[in-house]
Amino acid sequence: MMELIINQLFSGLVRSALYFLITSGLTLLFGVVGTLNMSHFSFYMIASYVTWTFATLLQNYQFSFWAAFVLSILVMSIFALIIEFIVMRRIYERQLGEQLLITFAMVFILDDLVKIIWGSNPLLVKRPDILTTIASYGSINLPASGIFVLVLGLFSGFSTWFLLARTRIGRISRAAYSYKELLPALGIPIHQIYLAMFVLSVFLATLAGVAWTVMGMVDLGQAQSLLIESFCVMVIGGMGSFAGTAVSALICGLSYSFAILFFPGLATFFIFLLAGIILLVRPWGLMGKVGRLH
Amino acid sequence: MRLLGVILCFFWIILGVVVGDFWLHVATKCLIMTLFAMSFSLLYGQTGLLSFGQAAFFGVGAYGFALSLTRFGLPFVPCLIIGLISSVLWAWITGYICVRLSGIYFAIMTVVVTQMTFYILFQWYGFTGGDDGIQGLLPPSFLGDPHAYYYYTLIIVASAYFAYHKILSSPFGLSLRCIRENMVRIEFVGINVRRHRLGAFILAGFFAGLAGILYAPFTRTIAPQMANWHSSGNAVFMGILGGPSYLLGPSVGAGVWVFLDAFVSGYTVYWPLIIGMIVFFIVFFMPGGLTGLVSTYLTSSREKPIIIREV
Repeated sequence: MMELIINQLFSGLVRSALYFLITSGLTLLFGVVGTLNMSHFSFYMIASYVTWTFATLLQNYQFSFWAAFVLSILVMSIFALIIEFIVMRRIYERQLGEQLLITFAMVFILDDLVKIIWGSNPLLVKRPDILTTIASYGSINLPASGIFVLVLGLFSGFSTWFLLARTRIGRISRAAYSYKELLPALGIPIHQIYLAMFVLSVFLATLAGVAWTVMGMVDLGQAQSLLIESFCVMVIGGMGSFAGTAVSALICGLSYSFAILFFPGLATFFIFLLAGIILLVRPWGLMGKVGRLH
Repeated sequence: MRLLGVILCFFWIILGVVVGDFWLHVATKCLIMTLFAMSFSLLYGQTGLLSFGQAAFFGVGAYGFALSLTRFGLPFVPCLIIGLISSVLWAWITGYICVRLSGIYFAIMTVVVTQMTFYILFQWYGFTGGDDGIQGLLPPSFLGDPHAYYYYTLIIVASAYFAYHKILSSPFGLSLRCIRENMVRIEFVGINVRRHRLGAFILAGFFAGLAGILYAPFTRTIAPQMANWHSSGNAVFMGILGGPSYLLGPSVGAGVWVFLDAFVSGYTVYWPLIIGMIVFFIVFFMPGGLTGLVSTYLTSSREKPIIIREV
């Protein structure tokens, strides 16, 4: 019994790390810029496909996966820059509805581009040997790929928190949401902050995409399958609250992995229920601010 | 306005006689999709609630009909009523949570609702048939002919459109537009915002469910993909294309969308890419949609605001 609980605890933590990696980018962009990017999940999916491409191109070399990891971050950052120049910087000042509609249209465009470039068959990334091992203690199994995802989540969480809370850039970014008019008056180039935040959010989505390649198959449905959970994580934690996202990712990941033990088909529904209840009691989420509701 | 309505009715009636089988199919689909677009437009164009979740009620309506037909063997008309009731009930339950939220929270929650509905239909294999969907949803023999089904659809859609017109010109519709323009002020006037929003949400669910019960016997096969957020995207795109706050918006949007779909699908399978780009263009350059464009061209006065007065 104890072993079962520890195994589920571990898989729940890994799931939380994945939720956190995906949702933190969304939260960051919303918290600083005030734009909700519906196509964030498409970036996550594209990152997985790019990782697959590099891993396949370099498969005869040593450390091909790690090279693909670095290269996909590079490529995705450039891609994010291009998207920022073409689309995002034109919609920051627009109404909420228009922002959502444009990024929603982008979901369709990006998903179809993925289908054109990579086809619709599921692809498998060749994992390095170190990530296929399983550390076993009695009947407790800790797969190395899970530990990798967990480390990735913890690392990105801590570094983003450090960036936001302890550096000058972070303080400016946090001010950018509330004092949109004041920052330019102080001589701070607010559009460069927006640009940096968008690239950072895509960077976090890329980490999630790479993390997914060691957990499962790369395919067109991978973004959709995490959509409910990620949005629920975001809503439960409170929109724009970075710490809230971390806490609610933990809650959702753990409750998912324990719910799946008892009601296998209903685990996702359980998270939905959780979000529904929390929204009825605290519409602004666990750690969100009341004023940020609109 | 009444003249325009009569002309449109005549147009659709004559259309059913003159066109061939393929275009009759397209025209029927266009009529059904008008209802789907209407359900989005009522929420976004009138009430100001951006919903990405209309497919949930579309799917639940179709499944309510199909399940009572195939699993319980009920006759045709009770099946239609059960489908409609189930989508309205689902809209009531989910709407109860959703309308408490505003802005971005509402949009997110509707995405969650539609994906949730999709997963329930997808995973409940024993009851809904999961990924296989449900086949063999034949309409009764007197509607078996495509022409008969077209006119049956036309009657229902025309009455629904009349009801939509009545809703928009009623005090209730006016309150909805007031909520869209200024939510805080309308509350001071003494109008219960939450109840009006819930009413709009349920009505939108009703229209989407109506589209669902017309769609299922039309294609004779349904799949859970009807209820996911890509399917919701169709309602969103049709509404935006036509101009969500205009009375004629849904029909224009659905007409153009279905026609383009039938036309473009002959050349390429990458239809979402193209419709995505079109919507991109419309949101950036003509926020009133096609109807808005024509309307501003006809009135051609600069002092008239583009979005406010339509009905």
